[in-house]
Amino acid sequence: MTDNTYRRILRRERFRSRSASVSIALGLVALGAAYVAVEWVLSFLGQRALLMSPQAAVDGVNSPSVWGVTAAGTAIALGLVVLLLALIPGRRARHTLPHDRLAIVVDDAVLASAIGRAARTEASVPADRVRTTVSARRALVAVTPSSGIAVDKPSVQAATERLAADLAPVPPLRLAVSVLPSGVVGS
Amino acid sequence: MIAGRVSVTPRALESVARGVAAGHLGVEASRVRVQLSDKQGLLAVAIAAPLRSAPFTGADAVGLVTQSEHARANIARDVATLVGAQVGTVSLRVTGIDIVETRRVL
Repeated sequence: MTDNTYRRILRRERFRSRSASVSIALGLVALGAAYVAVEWVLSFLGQRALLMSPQAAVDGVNSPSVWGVTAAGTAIALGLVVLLLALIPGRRARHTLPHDRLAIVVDDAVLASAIGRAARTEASVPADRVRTTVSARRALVAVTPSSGIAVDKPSVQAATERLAADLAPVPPLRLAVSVLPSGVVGS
Repeated sequence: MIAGRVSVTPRALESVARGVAAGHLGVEASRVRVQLSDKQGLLAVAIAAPLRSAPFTGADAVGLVTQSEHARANIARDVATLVGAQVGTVSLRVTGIDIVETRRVL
């Protein structure tokens, strides 16, 4: 049971919730439906329409005016936005770490600093000479060497990969180490 | 191995280069100006200093250019050894010649 609960919690933490966009979309749909219903009842009772009677709306569709086209365009744009919100995974900048008794969620910035630390220890450069960026499936490590002291790129790659293998973040990270061509005086 | 690291400031590196250059040029360190920079990952040393020379007489007078070329090579070697960094370029600007009368040893 806990396993399932944890899996669900971790998933919720990794992805953005859609409840806000869903409530807004449903609210808009409800308002639209209510308006159509009101117009229909008014025309049924023979009253004056609020904006446009159902008959006028149907005529508008058959012979579209500028306003009709504009409204349709807006509706299409809105529809695309809603579709995107629904289809895009909505990933947050977080990873989860496997643990048998805890559900661990780590911000990507924290992972980046851990990987950067491993890289700078291996390359023996000061902390500010390593830039690490972590995205969902990739970690980029850029090392600025000290002038005249070559950085062993394969060993930095190996050290960071070892750390990534130890942590085993989900989704897994592919490490890319690069050593900048020009260095900085001092070490 | 103990955690932590040794860091060497650019000032310290410049002092080392200044001392080495002063030794090879035969002048006081205070008259040597040194600038360090990076050249494609290698250390670039720029020196401006006077050169010490014997009076320009006699058959064994070494050409000034040859002498400064030697100094440049030696500076590059010694800086690389002391600092533990690869030296890419050493440029030497001779700002003067110190002519020193070598006293005859009787």
